[in-house]
Amino acid sequence: MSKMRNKIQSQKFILVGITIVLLFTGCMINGQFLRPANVANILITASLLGFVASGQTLVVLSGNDGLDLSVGGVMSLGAVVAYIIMDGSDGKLLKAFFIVLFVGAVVGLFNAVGVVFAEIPALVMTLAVSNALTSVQQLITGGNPTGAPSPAASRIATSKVAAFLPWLTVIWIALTFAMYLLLTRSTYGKRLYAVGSNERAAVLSGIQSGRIRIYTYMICGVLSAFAGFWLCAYNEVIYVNAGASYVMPSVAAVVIGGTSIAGGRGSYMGTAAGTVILTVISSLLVMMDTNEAGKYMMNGVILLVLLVIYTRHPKIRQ
Amino acid sequence: MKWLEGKLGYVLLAGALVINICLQGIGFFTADSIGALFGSNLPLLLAALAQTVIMAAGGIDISIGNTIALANGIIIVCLNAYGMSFSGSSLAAIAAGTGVGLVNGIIIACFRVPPLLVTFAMSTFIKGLALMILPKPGGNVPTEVYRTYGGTIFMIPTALVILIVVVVFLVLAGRFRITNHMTAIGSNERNAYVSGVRVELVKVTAYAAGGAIAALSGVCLTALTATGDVRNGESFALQSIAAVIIGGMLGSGKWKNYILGAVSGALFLAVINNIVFYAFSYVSVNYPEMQISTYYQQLFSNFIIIFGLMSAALAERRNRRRGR
Repeated sequence: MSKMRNKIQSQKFILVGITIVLLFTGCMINGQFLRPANVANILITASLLGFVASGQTLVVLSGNDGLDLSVGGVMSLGAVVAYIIMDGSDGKLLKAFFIVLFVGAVVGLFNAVGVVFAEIPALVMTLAVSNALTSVQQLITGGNPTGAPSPAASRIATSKVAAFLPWLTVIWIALTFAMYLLLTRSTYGKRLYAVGSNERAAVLSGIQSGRIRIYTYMICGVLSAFAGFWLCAYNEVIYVNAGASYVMPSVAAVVIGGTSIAGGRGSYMGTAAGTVILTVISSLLVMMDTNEAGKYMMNGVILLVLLVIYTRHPKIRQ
Repeated sequence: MKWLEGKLGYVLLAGALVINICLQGIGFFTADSIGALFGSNLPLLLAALAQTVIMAAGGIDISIGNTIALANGIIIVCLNAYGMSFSGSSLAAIAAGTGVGLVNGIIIACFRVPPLLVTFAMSTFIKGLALMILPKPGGNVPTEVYRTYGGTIFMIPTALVILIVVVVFLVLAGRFRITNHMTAIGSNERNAYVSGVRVELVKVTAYAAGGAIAALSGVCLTALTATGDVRNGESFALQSIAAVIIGGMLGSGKWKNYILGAVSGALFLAVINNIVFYAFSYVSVNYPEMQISTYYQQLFSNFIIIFGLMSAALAERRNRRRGR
């Protein structure tokens, strides 16, 4: 047990170390890198990714090869729905917000039906749902969304508390705290870890593992939709599948953060650190004028290296 | 109903075929219609075969979609920029596909990282590579290539001939020792290891073979579309996995069943697309006042894939409960 704790501790130091090295590299390449405006931009992108990655963390923790590839689809759908309903008026802000969260919960429930009841591999089910969500978006928008975020929402999403601290990041910090409480202090959190690390033992000690899984997918859906709402508020203009680029980083952030892909071990703090690292890397790549192809390749290589470092299984003969 | 067990893929396919024939009428049996069905869906069928080779060995490969796209890009660039022949560029593409499979296999087998995540990361990398090779859609292939692909050999559609050759080859490959070892690993890796199977080597072979078949699928896709576009390969990943699961043979542990299951699952998906297409054109011809967006077609096929997956998974679970 102490060995494992040591491993997690050292992992935290590695994460902090990587972040510092990255920031330093950024300064070396371009002196403007740590300007407050740039830091604020990085933090806003990190916050949006952080919302998505929080749901992903829960799903991965639930074990049984849990993975939600529909987060991008739910995020895009949430953004499109918020965009259409708000239609530039403050009066519809709350209505839009709650409808978006409800939509996220419904998609999460749908995922859960496939994964928990029909026992389709989570990856396959969520990928299929993700494809279906693309058609749903095209259907409700006719391929070209019209609308606008409400001014109040976009003011919150784009304004800053201090020169380098955007309001979105304050929301993210609050969410991080909430996730911390949820995972360490609540019954749900304890049960989630139990189900993730050993489902049979959890069931034998009276936990309804299916129910916990269903909740997990629904919470993940709600959090992704929440991210979609803020994506809409921040971006002003929304297109179909605007959130698709968040799927792969959300998985990467969870893996970098040290959450075991087999489930039952890990924390949201790690994911948050992973989120920051990924965002800094991608902003470095933007700064170095990497084109789209280079960005994909870099992301792939980074994830591969991290996977080889973090997620190795023991040898068969052990 | 006992004889139906484990044959859900065939049942679904037969049902879909009947509906298709009802909608399309006797025209379904013409050589043109069957040729078009196989011609436009051969890439999917081959992708499903690639996936089933890997899934037989207990793995999964999400990068198949982008491997197909990469093969497409390589062929177009070799043809147009380097002036190579079609067969030469196809060989280059297949070599690249095998290379991708080898990298996947080595990372998965030797570093023991979960296949899902490795191929997911590789998929992103290959997408970047394909975009670097062919940044913008375009290019063309010689006329005789797509003429041959869309034509017939001895009255049989070329695509069907290719499919039969590949399936026969794969079924015969079931006699090799290495395919036995693959299914052994797929059933229980630990037992296979204890019985002396060289797990690493066999896994790497499975991924390399899968990559090669996926690249072959890319060759067929290039001959079908006659142009290069590396952005539309991704959907093959899900469809190939869905085809293998709908085929319903994953629990059988028999090599031949894996291959035939994958073919029937992929054909089911192909026929479903046909059905949805004919149903919608039927409605729009007979009730012109109803405006139906084409997006409904996609949504409809997506949902049928999901329900196919659910029924296959439920059937398999029922078999498992009975202790099979």
